[in-house]
Amino acid sequence: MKMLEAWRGDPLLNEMLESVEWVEGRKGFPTLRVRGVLLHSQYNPVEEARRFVSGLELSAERPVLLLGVGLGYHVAALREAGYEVACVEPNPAVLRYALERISNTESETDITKVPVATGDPDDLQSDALFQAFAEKMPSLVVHPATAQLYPVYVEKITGILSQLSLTGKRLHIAIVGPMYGGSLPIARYLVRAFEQLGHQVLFVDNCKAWPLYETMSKSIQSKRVGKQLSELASHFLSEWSYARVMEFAPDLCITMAQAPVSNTFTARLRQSGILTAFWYVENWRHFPYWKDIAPLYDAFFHIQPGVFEEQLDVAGCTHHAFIQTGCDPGIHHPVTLTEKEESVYRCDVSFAGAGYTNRIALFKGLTGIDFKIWGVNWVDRDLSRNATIHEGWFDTDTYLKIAAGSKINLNLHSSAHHYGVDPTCDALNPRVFEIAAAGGFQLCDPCIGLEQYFDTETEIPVYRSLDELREKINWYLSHEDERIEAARLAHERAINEHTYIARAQSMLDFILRNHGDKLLKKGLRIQKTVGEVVDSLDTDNTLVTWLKGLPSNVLFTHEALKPYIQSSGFGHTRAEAIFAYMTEVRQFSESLLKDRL
Amino acid sequence: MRILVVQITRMGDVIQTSPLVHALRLHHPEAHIAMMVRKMGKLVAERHPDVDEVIVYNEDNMFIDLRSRDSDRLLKAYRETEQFIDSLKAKRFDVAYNTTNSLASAMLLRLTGIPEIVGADLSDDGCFIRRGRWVNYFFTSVFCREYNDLNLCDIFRHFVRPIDSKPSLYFTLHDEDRAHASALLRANDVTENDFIVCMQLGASEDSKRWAVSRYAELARLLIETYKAKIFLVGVQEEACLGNEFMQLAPGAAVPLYGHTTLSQLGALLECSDVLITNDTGTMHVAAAVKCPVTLVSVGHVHYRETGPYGEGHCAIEYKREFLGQSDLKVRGADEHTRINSEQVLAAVRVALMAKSGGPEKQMIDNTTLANVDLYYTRMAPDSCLAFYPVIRRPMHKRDLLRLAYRAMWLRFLHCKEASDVDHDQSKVLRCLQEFIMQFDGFDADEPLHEYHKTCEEGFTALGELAAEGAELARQLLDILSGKTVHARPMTAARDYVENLMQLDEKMRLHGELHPACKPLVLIARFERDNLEGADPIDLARTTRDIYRATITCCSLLNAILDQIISLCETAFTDT
Repeated sequence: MKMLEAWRGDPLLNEMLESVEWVEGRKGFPTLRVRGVLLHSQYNPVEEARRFVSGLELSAERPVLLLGVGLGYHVAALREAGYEVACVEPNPAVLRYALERISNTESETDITKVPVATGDPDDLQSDALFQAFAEKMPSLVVHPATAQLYPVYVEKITGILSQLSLTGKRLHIAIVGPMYGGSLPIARYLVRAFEQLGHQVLFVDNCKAWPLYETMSKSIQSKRVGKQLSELASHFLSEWSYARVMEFAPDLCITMAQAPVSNTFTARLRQSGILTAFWYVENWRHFPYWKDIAPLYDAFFHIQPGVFEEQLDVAGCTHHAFIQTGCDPGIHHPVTLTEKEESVYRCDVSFAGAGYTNRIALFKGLTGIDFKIWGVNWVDRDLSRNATIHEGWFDTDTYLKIAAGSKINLNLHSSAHHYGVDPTCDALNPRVFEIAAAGGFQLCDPCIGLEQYFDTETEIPVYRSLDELREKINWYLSHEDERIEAARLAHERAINEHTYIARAQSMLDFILRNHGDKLLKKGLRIQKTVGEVVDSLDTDNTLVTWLKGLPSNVLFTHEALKPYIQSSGFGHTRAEAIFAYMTEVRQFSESLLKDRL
Repeated sequence: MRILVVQITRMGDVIQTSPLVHALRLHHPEAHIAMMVRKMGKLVAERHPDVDEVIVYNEDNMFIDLRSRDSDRLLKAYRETEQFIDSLKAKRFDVAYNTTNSLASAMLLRLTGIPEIVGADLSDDGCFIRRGRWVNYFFTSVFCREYNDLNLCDIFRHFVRPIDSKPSLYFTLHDEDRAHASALLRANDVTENDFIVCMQLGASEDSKRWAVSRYAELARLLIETYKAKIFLVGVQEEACLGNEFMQLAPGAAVPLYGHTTLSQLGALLECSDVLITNDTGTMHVAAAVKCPVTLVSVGHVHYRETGPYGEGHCAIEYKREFLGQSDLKVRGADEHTRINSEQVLAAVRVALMAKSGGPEKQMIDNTTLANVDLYYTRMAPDSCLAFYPVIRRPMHKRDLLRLAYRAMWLRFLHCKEASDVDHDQSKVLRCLQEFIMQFDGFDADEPLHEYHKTCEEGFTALGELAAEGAELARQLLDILSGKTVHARPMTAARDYVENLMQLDEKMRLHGELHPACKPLVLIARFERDNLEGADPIDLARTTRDIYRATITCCSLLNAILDQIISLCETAFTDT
């Protein structure tokens, strides 16, 4: 990318992508014809360009990236309207004609200094000038004729611009959680991950509604009435979630599996320009509701590649991506047991999780070992003879202690169709990553896809049958070094490659790639920290002096600064006094608005 | 001398501030007078002959940027605010008169560093205070509205000692405004000989609106009685009210919503025979261009405070027991229809008569007007606006105290010391005489003399409490200044402060038990809450002075009440 004038004489402009025809206009303003399409009006292209620009809904504060230079009429109109402009022209030959017209025209709004790029769009990704311009989050304007002639080029530039503009920007992300269930902790991990990536996150936490919901459900005998109440409750929770999301006004709203939202939830958010995503962390075969909801979201994330993706295509879901669960090193980490805890958690083999039929069936065959089980629904006479069962719910802290206390942590994916190991299992559970991150040695059933995440020889060995399991248990119990090494390698892998931060970033990359243009069009709230603002300002400045007294990681938004603004005037610095004044203006105006509403 | 007048509320408030600006001009003929107003008040300020400069205050963009949760926009808002403050600072005003009761305006003025502020300000330690006795009166009068007889324009005007005996509102019209009005009339086949009526159906709050259905009925009556040509005026947002009107009275009026600028509206009002309106900015524009106004006062509107300023206007309100505070809840939707169209027609007649000197004689109470009160406006001998009753009726207790307070405040609030009180009795007497002549005896549950005695006892007792306070404050001052030597001065001082707090509580209770005394109790308390600075000696001195002022006011009120009673005896005996 370089100034338009600097393109004069560039050999690239001699490349004729196709025939470009110079057409003299009726009033002395020429136009071009490419593949039969006139780039500008033959009658009055200047007026046409002005009308076009005045009809655009552009933000006055943002510069404009114009796709399609043509003969420069639209460029001039944008400059006249006061916008900072840069251009990309798909056809180098068009650019050559544009330079020719500008040379021959007097009293032209000076567009020779406008940065312009042409040629291969992939080159733009590494172009410093283009990157700098993209950093300003320009509004994207596509010259209509260019959109018609070069749709693929336009789409590519749009994607590149979106990514360059939005990557690294602080987004507002709402995550709507379920009331209860396995996706609830995952929702929390995702919230933390996005926060750690520097985004502003609202967790729409519905778990407080669960006790009421559960009590209500249990208190009604009639199935019909129970269903009615359940629907009413779900509707209420959906409205509540919607209200919270709308007040936060995010750029993106991610709904977790089992979150209590209605099908209209997405449509309403999209009407407000909010991008929507769903993370389906369930087995698609067991919970078929995905068919109804997947097409409704801008992005549908799931944890089972392959067949499910084909099914999603058939269901009309055009933007889906495989995003696996993971671990949160801030939560899932090795712990040291106290002496008292040693007596509780120390064992040769453990399992932590719910007592599904296939698990009970397999574990009944693990006799003659020091075997402890934690979780619910483990009522089985045979099993209880061979294993110490701690029946009941356990929290994350306990989970980490279990992993720390066990020489071998078993992982067996649940199945409703097989006893023991399910050879068709393709939905990796979060336990795979969590045990690894917690530093525990793990023996796992060979869930399809596991080998993509861990080495099943050196990191997380697998077993396919009871016999194999017993054999590996015996071997690893007597080979401590190998066991410790495998746990170490799995731990390294988990915290370096399989964190929720990585998953969150993958989600964002997908969304920016596919829908970044919508975000760009809507515009982002630019949120910087106090430290970033201080760095960007002149040091000899009363505002900087005041800001330097604040924690540098506080966001530079009015809401975040309010606790630091003294309401009384005593001891105010000038900057603080100005902020106090602005705060009072806002509070008073909001009180008037509240009275009116 | 460079003077800034700050009025950043609504357009109507800017017009109501115009007499103050003129008073400032009379005091400082060579001064540079600037007015800071919102965009909606810009034209009003520009059309004031005494205003040299108009500064537009705009916080809308700042508000939107603050709520955007965007760092760049916050920075922009900060920079623009800083620039605005610096621009005000660069103008080097010597004094600012802040007629806006807002903390934000006080903070802004403090940031500009203007050395003297009259009105809302920040103290040196950042507390929100009001400077000026009339300012304090302005802010406390809303809590005792039934005893306030002064229009806001007069209160503002008194922020400086007024020297203008014929104050008015100011809004200059230009030839092009008048030309537009003429063209508008011609386009609607209206000649200057026609009886032209403008109606303002809207108001800033629903609670202040007389029902549209009543306006429609009135329109029919006006057409019947006067062959009136009626225009509906207001902003575009009020067009829905116009639509409602047109459905009820098709063809009765020409809607002009959004069709005129403010000055063009002024020109139209200037050639109209009457404006019938709710309490609105249009009312003030009409008053400024000398168009007779009929104000239908509903809800918590208090016509004495905010009614049309100038001679020849009329206000009508439903008879009510209490006025209550300005934030009183709407009494019920039916108040908006209780005043009927025949009654307002009667008020229109009064306004028309008032234009030519006022009703020749008061009406005797009749069934048509049984449940309403009608008033017309005159400038009283004390040069302030007064609302005179159209319907002859007995004087109520409230009237008595309102007159007494009016006379007292006008004499007292400009004085620095009690000894400065203007003892010129003649103007006071003339004023009181004129008011009392409007009433037909004294109507109360206790006879006049007994009520007088009740009030006198109340004021005397309050004066004694205040004397006690003054003495305590004096003793405190003596200890703090070292005049009185005490073994443990700080302990003694704390005891005095504690005693003063107890005394304040007694005074507060006295005000509750003796409603006639409440305005004095409130204003004294307000002034004590308004104390600024940290020097205990200054604070003690000011506290002493506040109590002394209360003593003076009580004494003055008793004296004035004596005069009123004496005049009443004469007037009511003669009738």
